[in-house]
Amino acid sequence: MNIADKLTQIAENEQKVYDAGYEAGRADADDSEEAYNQGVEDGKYAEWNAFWYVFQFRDGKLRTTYEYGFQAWRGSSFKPKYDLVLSGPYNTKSFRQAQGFDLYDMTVGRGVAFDTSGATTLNAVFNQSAIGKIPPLDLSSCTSMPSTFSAMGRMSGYTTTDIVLNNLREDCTFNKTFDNAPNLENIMITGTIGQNGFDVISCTKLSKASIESIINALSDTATGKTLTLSKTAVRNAFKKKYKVGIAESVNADGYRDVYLPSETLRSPRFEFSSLMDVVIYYGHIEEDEWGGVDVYWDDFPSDGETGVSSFGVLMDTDNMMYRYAIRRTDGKEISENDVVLIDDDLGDWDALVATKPNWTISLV
Amino acid sequence: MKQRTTLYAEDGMILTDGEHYGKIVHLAEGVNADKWYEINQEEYEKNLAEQEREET
Repeated sequence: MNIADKLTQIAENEQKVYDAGYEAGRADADDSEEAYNQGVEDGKYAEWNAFWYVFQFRDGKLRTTYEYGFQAWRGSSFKPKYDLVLSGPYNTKSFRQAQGFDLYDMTVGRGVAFDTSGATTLNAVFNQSAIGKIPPLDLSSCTSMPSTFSAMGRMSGYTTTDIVLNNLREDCTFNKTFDNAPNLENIMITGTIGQNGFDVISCTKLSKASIESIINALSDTATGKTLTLSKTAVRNAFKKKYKVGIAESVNADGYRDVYLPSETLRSPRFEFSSLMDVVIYYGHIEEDEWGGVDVYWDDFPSDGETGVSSFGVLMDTDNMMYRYAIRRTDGKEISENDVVLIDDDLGDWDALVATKPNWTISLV
Repeated sequence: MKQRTTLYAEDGMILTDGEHYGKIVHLAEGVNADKWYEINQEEYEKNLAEQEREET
């Protein structure tokens, strides 16, 4: 029986399952609801067994190709009984547009292996899908990953945020592999990237560990290759955040001072926990004509007329003689939780880039 | 000795070598910066759309 016939039969069998449960219940001497429900469950289980055997076996052998196999599959009906092995030559778009279930939970989480170790290509396998956690992919045979995770951002529901690529081969090619996948936060790689570069422009939320993992995987011997990353992702991953201190008492001008961390910051920028109306003052400390120290206050032009989420300052790195005072114009007190100090200087980033001098690394 | 160069695009501009794009480009050691040039955002989006059409 082919799959189409089987699906037709399943639809027709819905009444049979009901009847089977009813009969099982009737067969029980007490004719109880419990016996009836058990009968229904038995019927469902028998159908589940029959369906997945037909779906996953070919001539008595476990299926290894799922081309379009689970395309547009929806919801909780995805409960494979046997290991999912994608090792044959035809696995294009096997989970394209699938959604409504978590792939990891429904496979590895239930003791069903998800095995890609024999797959030579993973063409658009997860294109436009929303299937939550994807089991770690063994890429030890894979030499081509076109559009594998592309357009995952188009679907909602079980959002995929993590990808683990193991045993990546240096001769594996990438083409639009991560296009339009803005929800990916973690891409962890073991193996080597080297064939035709790597492009994760669309992944604006990539974690620092992911960016480090990708760069560490770049071949040390390849030449003429380019890695392209999101500038937003790199900046957010490598910028440093500091908690600021807020003075317990108001200063002479009636506002609370912000205490900066002791580190010298080259590009300090304050970010507020929410959009708020503030007046920001900064004081430049100078010696006065009598040898004393005075604070010369000035205010920023943002001056509280509209809400602000952040403001940056260009600072003389050799001169930390600045103080900041912040006044909320809504009458509320400023607190430590309202303000975070960001250093936009990406010192760790430059050091990381320096480890791969043979690669052009581009930020868009 | 090979020299590594970093290119920075002006505000509102994108650097390209005709194939790759970037606002900040850390060139590989020994790579000549001459083939990189700036385009504006409109040209950038137009190029991406053309690439998309060619590949579909």
